[in-house]
Amino acid sequence: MSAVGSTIASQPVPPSAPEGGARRRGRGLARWLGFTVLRAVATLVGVAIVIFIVLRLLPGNQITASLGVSAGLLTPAQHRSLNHFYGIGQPLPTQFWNWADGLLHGNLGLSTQSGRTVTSLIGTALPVTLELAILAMIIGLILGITTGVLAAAYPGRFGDWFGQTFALFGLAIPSFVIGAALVAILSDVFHYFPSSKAYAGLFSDPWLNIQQLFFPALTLGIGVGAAVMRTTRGAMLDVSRQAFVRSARGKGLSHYAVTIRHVLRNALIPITTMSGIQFGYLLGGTVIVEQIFVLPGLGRLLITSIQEHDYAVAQGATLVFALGFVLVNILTDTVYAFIDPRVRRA
Amino acid sequence: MSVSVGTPEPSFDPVASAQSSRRSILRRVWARGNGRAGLIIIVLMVLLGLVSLIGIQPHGPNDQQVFQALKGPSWSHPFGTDSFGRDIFSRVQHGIVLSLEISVIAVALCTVVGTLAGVAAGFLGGVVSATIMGFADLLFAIPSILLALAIVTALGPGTLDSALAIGIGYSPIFARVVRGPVLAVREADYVKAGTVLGFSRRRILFRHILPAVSGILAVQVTLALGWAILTEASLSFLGLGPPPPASSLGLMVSDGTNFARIAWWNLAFPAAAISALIIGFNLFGDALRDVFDPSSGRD
Repeated sequence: MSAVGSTIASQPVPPSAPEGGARRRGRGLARWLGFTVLRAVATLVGVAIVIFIVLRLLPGNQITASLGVSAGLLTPAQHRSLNHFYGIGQPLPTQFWNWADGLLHGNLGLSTQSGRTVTSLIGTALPVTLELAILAMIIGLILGITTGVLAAAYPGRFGDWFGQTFALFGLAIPSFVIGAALVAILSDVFHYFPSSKAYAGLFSDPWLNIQQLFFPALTLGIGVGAAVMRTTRGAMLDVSRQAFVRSARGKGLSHYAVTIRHVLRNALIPITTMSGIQFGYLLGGTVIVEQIFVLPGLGRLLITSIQEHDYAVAQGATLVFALGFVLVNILTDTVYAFIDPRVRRA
Repeated sequence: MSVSVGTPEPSFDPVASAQSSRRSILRRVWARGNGRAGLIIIVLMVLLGLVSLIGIQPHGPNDQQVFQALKGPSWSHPFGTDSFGRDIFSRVQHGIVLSLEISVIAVALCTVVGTLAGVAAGFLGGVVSATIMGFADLLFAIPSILLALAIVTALGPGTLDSALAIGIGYSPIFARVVRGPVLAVREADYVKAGTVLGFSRRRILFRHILPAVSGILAVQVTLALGWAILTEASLSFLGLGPPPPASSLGLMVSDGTNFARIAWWNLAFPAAAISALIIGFNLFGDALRDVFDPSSGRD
């Protein structure tokens, strides 16, 4: 998503680490980390409240969701007891408090549709989504960094043209179009649709698992690759204008050695940041791709639970998504601070 | 801003950008290959959609000719027909209008809300800034498609609901983008001079600070349009856009996948329309950014 990629956000800046030795620097970093974690927790609490309210705005409730129009046939007594069962009658703050209290004890509540605990539902769905996101990230990094390096090493030549075209289309073609086209081509032309079989776990049937996840991951990876390509190319062109690169060339190093050892290495910081951002957005993208490729991941769980008014599941799933997003951001910021001492000192 | 996403801030000079006139900006965008391509694509697509409003289209978008169902592209049906025998070309025309309608409302909404929030945060600082940016962080932590999903589910599918959902999801980005330059302009000498001269806060805000961030806003609005078209299409693909028989492009792609083998045109043309719109706005936005901020012309 290019528009989001161009977001200008101030990078978190750890407190200045004075030059007075490792101990003080360590303390500065620890304080910065503590502060970062505190903010993350505050954000998550906010997300929990917002999600809770938004879901309560949905028309209908668990009774109409599970009984449909037959809900109108319930006697007042049945209605009261169902209300009590689902906890609908209670005031909102009480409902929220009950949920938050359970949350702190590791209890995310019970799915009113399947009768299973939300924790166990998320426990089965999360590994699918994580595997998909990680695989997509790997594909995206391979695609993005190769095309980016190629483009930056030969600016204005075929490699550059190829890379830029890939980035342009990769950013503009929605993942659901790529996914739908892939499904159509694979199943109709090659009669190959591994997702038609029951989902196979990574450890129970690794070969089928990889087959089922490769194409969804490719679908997501193309978008990531396009964003990473643009950052790689831009950062490398920036670096290659610097004096030390000219010295390296003057020293007689080969084009390859200069490009990989000097330019790419120094361009890694913006690439890391961009990868972090992209991983966060991948988590959102999994929702659509899981829908197209019929994968039992967290995104599908979320969509189904929203449709079925299964509040506890929807709340839990969204919170896990938000948690993933926040964790990735902390990780990126931390890596960034470690790679580039200027960020710490700024 | 600890939980944050973003590329490093470009060295954007709001003061300089406010001085270049609109005409010269357009001319400089046109002078760039990507800007020209983007502008041409946008104009063509918009025209293609708009002419359908005055009746220039081969067929009615919802006219069913059952005996013509799933026919390939021909002179009378340039993009072929769908399973109900409806003309896909006419439906794509309407889909473009629908998509632009939702995206423009959404982007207008997030531009106003986000800019006001960003200006308030940058200009007033302190508790206001902390509250606004904290809220922006919070909205950021919920992936935008999920936020839109929840909002659309809450309000029910429809044109305005999609626009509202997309607009809310994108507002925090505008708040962030605007806040930085406002902070910079607030400290600029000419604004300080205005304060010394006793100008009212409102005058400084509207006459001096807002014009200074207009360049970066223009870039963001263009890119946001591309993003809004993408999100709208994704929502309607998931069945959360305007309900049928409205010819929403995402829904057409979703329907088209069912007939992909026997009638590829059902999938290909709506998909191409979505992609062309997004490519157009992205190219134009990139060129605009290059013009406003030459140092970012690296990507």
